[in-house]
Amino acid sequence: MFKNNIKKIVPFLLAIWAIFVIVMYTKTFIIPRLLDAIKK
Amino acid sequence: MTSIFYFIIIILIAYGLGKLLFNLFIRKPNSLLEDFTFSVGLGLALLGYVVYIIGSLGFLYQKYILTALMLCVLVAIYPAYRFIYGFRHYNISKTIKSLNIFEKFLIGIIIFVPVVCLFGALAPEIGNDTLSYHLYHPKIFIENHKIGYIPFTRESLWPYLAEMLFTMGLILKSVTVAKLFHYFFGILSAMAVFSFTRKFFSQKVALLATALFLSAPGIFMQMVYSYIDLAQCFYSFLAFYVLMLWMESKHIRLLMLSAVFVGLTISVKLLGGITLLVLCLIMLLEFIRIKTNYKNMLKYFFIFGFITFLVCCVWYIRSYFVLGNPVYPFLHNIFGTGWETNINVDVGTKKDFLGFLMLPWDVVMQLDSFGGQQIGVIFLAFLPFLFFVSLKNYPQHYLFIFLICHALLWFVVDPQLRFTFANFAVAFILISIGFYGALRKYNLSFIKILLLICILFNMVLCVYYNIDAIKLSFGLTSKENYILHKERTYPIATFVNKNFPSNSVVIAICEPRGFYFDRKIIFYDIWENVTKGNIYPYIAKLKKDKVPVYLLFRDDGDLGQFKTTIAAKIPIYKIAREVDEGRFASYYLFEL
Repeated sequence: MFKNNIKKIVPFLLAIWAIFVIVMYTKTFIIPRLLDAIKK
Repeated sequence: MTSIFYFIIIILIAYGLGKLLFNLFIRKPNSLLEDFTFSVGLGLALLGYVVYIIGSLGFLYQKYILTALMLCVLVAIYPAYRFIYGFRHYNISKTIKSLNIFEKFLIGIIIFVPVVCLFGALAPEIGNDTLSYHLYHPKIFIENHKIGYIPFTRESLWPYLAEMLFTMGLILKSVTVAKLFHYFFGILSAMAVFSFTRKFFSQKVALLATALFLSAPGIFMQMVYSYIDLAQCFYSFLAFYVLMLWMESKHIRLLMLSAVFVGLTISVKLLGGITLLVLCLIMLLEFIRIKTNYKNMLKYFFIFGFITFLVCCVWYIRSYFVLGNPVYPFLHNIFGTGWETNINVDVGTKKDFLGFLMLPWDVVMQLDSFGGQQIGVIFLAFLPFLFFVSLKNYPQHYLFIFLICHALLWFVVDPQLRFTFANFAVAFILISIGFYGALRKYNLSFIKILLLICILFNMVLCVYYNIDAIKLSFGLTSKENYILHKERTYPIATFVNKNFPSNSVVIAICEPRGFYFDRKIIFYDIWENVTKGNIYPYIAKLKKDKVPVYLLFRDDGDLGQFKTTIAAKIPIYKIAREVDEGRFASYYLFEL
């Protein structure tokens, strides 16, 4: 039971972290540059 | 296209030469790729030293370089022929057919990045440091027919192994050949990553690590400039690679080869010293692990240190003899010459323990704090996979030690992201090992999709950064337009080259880029630091010798001693140029 839960939780946590980083990266890197490009 | 042809010939010569050297250390390489990577690495270094010797003797003419290359061909032709012949037995299509879709996608990425970057590498040079010294000094060496100290410069006596190759490219053909060297160091680094990972882990891990390494924006952005950081990354990683091979067999020749590569790293850049320290630590740990006695330990360290010194000493000794400081202008308090250079003041975050712990986050999210280069989102998003790296074997242990110690020293000394490219390789290898380690235990289909999206995003970035060069290659824009749009000094240099007498001297304030100027440039900031004196007697002497003197001033700089002189003068040329992303400055030219 515990092993099964771990099998589900680990990929979930990894995915959450990856999505969080991608969102933060989009916010700090992609969006400001896109806005700059649009302004130009 | 002729530049590419020239370059391929040089690489074949480098392979042939390097193979002869390589045979002295390793008789039977693990793979064809290992053989090629190591041999070309050694051969290019040898060619660099050949150019250096010819140039130091004052024979830097195309005919002598060509003669030297012809002589090298005689030696290199047989090993090069054997290498090409060896490919006949290699069935690449069969290997590709045996891969799954994900691995085929990774192969696509490994091919895509070099192809797109080739357009950038073939375009005219626009990199800041390149136009300031990496290519500018070789251009002056060629004009002077001699390699040596260029008066009033900071860098001309730095370790210039990579610049020797640029000099060869410039003297034989063009800027493009020079640029192709650095581009090729990027490809060689990727080959080394693949070869190492396949040797110590597996092919699928190697494919992922190589694809991640090449898709890191910092890597593909650097491949299109003739900087030296990928050369440093390549030799640094090879030194680590051979050290790992030595641990397997404990053959002294492998340790010696590792020392050669460390020496070459330090011959490319002073910061290669970080690799030396880290590898010494790894050796020490290995000696302790296998319980080597002190006498043997000292013997091995002496051999390692001595060979490293032998390979790189020439650069530092000449700087010491000419300027009294082997690392001019740094450490001026110790050597008495040089000046205060706060190289790491504007880069990095807070240099404390918390700052170091936050480093993985900061290098991704705070791009501007680390010199503007990027490691990319994949590094941070998939960093937790390091927890899935099995620590059963020694390469993993030492990969971790290299990663942490190299990062720590780099963080303390000069945390510009491009100075730690070798650590990109190590980090992506570890992430790839962890990824496949986790894949064996868990269902990671969603994470795989996220990884694919991130890699594809980096590919979009790769095309975006090279789009103008691609347009140039397809004739959608002219070369003139390309440089005019991309290089701030180009219109000024064109004006100077067209209108100023050939013997004139231009004193440049706040503008370090001199490559496109065909007149003698004196960089005032450096002049001030070198002489610490009054510039007017120097100008008077030039004028007395009937040398016309001009002043190039960028208005975001400090006029220094010229404040009063310029106040009453009308500029003979004025132009506003973008000096940074979205930041403009005006350039003025005055006759003095």
